[in-house]
Amino acid sequence: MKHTAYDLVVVGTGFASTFFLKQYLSKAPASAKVLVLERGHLFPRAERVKEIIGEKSAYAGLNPISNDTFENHKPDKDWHFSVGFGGSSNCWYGCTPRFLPSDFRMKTLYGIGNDWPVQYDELDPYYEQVEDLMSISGPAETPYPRKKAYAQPPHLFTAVDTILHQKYGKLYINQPTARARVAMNGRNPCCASAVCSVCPVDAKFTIENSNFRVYEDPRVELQQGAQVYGLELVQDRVRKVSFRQDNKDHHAAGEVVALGANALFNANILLNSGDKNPFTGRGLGEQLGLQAHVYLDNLQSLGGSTWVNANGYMLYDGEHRKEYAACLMESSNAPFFRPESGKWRHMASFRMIFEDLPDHDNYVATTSDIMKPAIHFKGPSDYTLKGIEKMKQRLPDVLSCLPVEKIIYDQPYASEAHILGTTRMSATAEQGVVDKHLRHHQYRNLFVLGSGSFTTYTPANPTLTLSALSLLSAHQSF
Amino acid sequence: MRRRSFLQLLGLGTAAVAVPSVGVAASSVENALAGIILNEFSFLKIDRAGVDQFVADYYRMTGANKQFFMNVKTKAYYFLKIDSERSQLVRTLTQLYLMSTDFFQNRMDESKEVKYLGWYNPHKTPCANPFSSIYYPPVVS
Repeated sequence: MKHTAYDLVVVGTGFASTFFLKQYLSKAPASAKVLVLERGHLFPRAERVKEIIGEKSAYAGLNPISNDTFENHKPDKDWHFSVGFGGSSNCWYGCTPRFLPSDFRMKTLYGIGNDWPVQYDELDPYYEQVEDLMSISGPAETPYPRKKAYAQPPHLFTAVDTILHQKYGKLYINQPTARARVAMNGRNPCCASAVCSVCPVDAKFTIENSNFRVYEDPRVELQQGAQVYGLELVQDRVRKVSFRQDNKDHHAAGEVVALGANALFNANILLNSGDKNPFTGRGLGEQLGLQAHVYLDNLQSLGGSTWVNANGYMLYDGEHRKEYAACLMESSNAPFFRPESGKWRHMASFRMIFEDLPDHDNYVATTSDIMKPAIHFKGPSDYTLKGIEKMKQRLPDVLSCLPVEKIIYDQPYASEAHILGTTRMSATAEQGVVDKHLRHHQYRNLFVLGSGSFTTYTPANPTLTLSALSLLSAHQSF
Repeated sequence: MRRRSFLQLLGLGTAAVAVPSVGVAASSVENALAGIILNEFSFLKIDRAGVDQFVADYYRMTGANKQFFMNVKTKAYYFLKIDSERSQLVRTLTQLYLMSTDFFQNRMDESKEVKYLGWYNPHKTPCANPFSSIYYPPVVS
């Protein structure tokens, strides 16, 4: 380290940390000293591609495999993330719908969970900023209010999507996505290879290709291979951050500290540090998804231009959320087909994604290894499972504008690759861990960023919202 | 519920019991996997040697034939003629096989023999999704 004390210490280099840091740097003086502690290392996209196709890469093995970094007490439940510089921007699929205004008011509207202390209208300008910074592709009309056009034109529909859009209007839209429709900012257009976790053509937004240059800012000192495991908490403030690098323990003092690891590790760091908030580590969750294959009579789904062409909101919002989960539809454009003569693409395939509820008994706990959290997860709630059953009853009617022959449902996926909860946002310390600025209710110079802060678990993908929350937090706090 | 449906619902364990043990032992897992593919695409002219090569590549890439459970499952699926409508595993495997052939390059011409080209890897050959806008561009009126 260049210094022993910093104005800001940031943990992690994923979406949450990077957007927070970008906003902070726009307001901080030239003399500001910022330390960024990244557990892993940069593993460039081009090198990841080399590894996948079997070529040697000097970067291979630099970062730990995510499954080796935690104890999973429910082995049939997966938790996906990427360790290394850029965090899970390296493995995300680039789906960026906003949440609906109602998602922030689940208690008031439906008596479910809790209301978020921040509401849609307040988050709107930060959503807009993130969408511009990521050069999002999207349609003119959306089921949530927006004030300006997306930076990129929308991706292309198939004939099936077009029929559904004609029937449902802004409830069935081209998916807003960080997979580029046209070349922009050094990114290439998506060509529907459908292996987005490591995009073969560099079409999706990542921290690596963001051109934010926050980590090259002269005020910022980036330390890689530095895993944070604890905080020194004194009189309701964070004093120091403890981390291990090259098998040695180090301690850096910070005037302000921002935890931007994922929801497993933010919780582990807080629990290791003695945080006694009863919600810390609790309420771990994510959405549940399954695939619905729809066989069609003499109608083909051809010509989509990206991995997911469209989002359907027909089963998402409404009074039913008092009883069962909202469902977001994703119209897939993976190279699926129907093994019947002459009917190869006479089908559509939808990923049906269901919200879930925070449950105190799904949680992260510390282990004898200070670096390694344990995950205890019972499984999806009855609210979510009922959502699946109701969807199966309602989907034939929703798709009645299509010549449906039959619908085949897969078993639910083991993961939606989102990690939510464990440091939930609330108006008061009696209901959660952080406030609407993602500041810890007790330790007021500590920010706990990311999707761990989500109050409830809407079916929409979390990245855009967690990034907007980081911008809001830094903008309104400094 | 009829006994046959009940056995199928019970899945692998019961399926293995339902299949004569001699039959399971007699067929290699490689032959069983090739048989699943050939069953699925029985209406196509398939290059059998190419299927065998795909199966060899599949096991070399995934190591799935080293898993006892998977081997029993594969054989059971073959003997029970489980197709892709009833099994995600069969759907994934058979789709991977066909994506690894020249079938889509030949614009799904079912009269031509289907030949294995090599393991489908979209990182080696990106933009090869045969149903995308690259191959079916929007019609300009």
